[in-house]
Amino acid sequence: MIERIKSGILFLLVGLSLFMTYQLWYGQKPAQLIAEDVYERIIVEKPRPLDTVVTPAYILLAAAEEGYYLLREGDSDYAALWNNISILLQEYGKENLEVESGDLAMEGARRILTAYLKPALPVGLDLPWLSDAMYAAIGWVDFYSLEGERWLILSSPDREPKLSIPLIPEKAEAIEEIIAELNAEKVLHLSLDTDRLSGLVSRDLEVKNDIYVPGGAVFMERLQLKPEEIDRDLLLKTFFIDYNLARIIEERDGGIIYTDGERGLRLSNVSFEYSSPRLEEGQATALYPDALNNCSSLISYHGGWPEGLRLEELALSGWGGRASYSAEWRMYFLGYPLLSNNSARAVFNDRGLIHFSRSLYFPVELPEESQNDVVETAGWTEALQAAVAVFEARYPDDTESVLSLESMSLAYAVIDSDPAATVWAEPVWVIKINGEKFILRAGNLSPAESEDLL
Amino acid sequence: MNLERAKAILIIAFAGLNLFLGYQLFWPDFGRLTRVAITADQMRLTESMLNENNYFLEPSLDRAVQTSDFITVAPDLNYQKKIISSLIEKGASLSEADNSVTFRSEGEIVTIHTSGLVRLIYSPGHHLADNTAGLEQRELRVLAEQFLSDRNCLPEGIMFDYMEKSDDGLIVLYYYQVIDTVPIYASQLKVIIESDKVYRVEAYWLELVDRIPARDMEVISATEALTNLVKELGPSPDPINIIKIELGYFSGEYDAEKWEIPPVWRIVLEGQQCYYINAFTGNLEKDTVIPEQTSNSSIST
Repeated sequence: MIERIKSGILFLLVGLSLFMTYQLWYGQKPAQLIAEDVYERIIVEKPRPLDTVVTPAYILLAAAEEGYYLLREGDSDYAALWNNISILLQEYGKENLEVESGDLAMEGARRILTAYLKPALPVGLDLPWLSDAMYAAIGWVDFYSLEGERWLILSSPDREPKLSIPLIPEKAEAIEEIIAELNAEKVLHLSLDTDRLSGLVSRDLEVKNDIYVPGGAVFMERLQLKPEEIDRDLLLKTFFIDYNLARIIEERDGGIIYTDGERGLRLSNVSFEYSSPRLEEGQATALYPDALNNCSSLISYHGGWPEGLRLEELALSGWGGRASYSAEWRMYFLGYPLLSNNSARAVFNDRGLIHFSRSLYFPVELPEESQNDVVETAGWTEALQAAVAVFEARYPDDTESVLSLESMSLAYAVIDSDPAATVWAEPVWVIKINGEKFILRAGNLSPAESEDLL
Repeated sequence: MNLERAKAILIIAFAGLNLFLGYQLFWPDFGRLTRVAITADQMRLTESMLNENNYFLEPSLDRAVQTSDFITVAPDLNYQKKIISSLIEKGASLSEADNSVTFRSEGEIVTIHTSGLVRLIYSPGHHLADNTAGLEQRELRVLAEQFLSDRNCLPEGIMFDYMEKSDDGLIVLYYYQVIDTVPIYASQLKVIIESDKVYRVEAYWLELVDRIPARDMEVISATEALTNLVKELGPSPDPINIIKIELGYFSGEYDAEKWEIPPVWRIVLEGQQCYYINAFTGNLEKDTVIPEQTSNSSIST
């Protein structure tokens, strides 16, 4: 009996030793945390080079008769002119041609073209433009002509002349050729000044900035829009290194939020918004040209930089030991800006992207047989009078003060007015008085509130 | 050598071999089958880091590797229905606002928010017991739970958390939710007692919609969670004890249809300050991460 027990024990011990040897050899490895960063290769749009990041807010051309032609993003002549000037400024740096500074104005010279650059154009060493010049941020480029001589004057954003570039004839002629071949249907614009406004409304109005408005009738198409299609999977990967760690929140309005507790991404059908508030406590030490490059990378990485989208602003702000750059983009159609409540915007600093939002619309391509409605816009005088009337209705106690007209222009606004939920870009007048914007439908001048905008 | 002696020698030899193999496999911090997330060295280092920063760890830590997953939750509509049905029975009047519904009956106002928050206000208050300030925590708990049960507002899976008592006689009992033995710290129920009367009950209760086992992952160790918390908070000006560190689920409150919540290490400091470290990412969980639902940017031309 004892021998049988011994045999049993021996058998068990042999079996156990075999099992443990197997476990030791092939069994589980020591614990490793798997909640680590997982990098996945993704393909996104290549950032635009710096020489295409900054473009003028507008280009103003002196017309043969009294007035100006105003060209903006989305206008083919605007693109051709700016492309020419930009290349010219790039070549002048490389060829080391004469660049003067100091007193630059020439008496009696005629200003043919003005490009207003916002955000400012950085020129100087290691930059695409005027790489032999000292660093400067340029807000204005003026093209002058006098007795066969042509030159460019580059001024700071507050109009202080910085550089003068005498042009060799063939360079100047290339610009003049584009101007001479301008599309004949361009609308002549007037420059508004306080004298021109006197007596127009029942109270005093002063003009704060350079304002140019169409002098005659303007016909604008009412455009049917469609929201940008968002590749949610790709977007998720651009914001979260390991999106497996992001959790999903399904909102009642159909929106979806992804968050990993440190950053959040809200996706709706027509827009998205990202936020990483922990990064706010950082500094922004990048130089202005580097910040421009960052803008290009950010918009290209998070959805792409489509045609017609223009960088409108890049500003550095700071408070309480924190600093960040904020950038804003806007869509343009047919030379008019598209106003909406959610544009594309990025806030970033040295630590990374703090906030990013994007909501873009594109015109629907209609079949050849169908056409968009065309709206004849009200004239600038009626529009201004209507805006002042809205101002007075909104502030009935303010009847005496001098009103300050800060901006006035035609634009498109994304207004959700169709019961069939079609999104339309309506032609509007946008008039800024005393710091407040008034949006009036360009046809009948009925006011549209900011809340009406999508 | 006879067979008996040979067997005895073999038994001794294999017993020795098994002891050696067992040591290799199961010995803490060394064993191949003991899935340890925190080694003795890591434990010592963490404790010394905590002490250097004026934090002192009271509980012992579970050193084994743990796994967890995301769970999907939604506001507990059954709990809300239960309260509403009892209010309707009492003939309560109803009024609606943008994000809430309010029921009023004699001595009771109940507001149910779309986010799932339920607020019950009693005026002039329900007498709970005489001299509540002198009662033990256990006695107060029993009374409070009985009170909730009598008013049909005791939710399922309720677990007592802690009690706050102030010098002016205010007592607040805090509860959280347990679903399938898992603590859900995102859910909370508060009973507010003053001058021996219950004045208010606030409940934010969730229901489990789904578990996502496909995303089952190992969680970070408790020592890593403690290290991350100290990095976030910095050194404590005064010595402070860490009284609890537990694994559960937590997220902010969302006015949403349903949402996923991650596992967290809940670290409770002396004075009931609670911090939640995401057990997957190691980040301190905050409510302010989600972008605002609507953002009106300035319109410029």
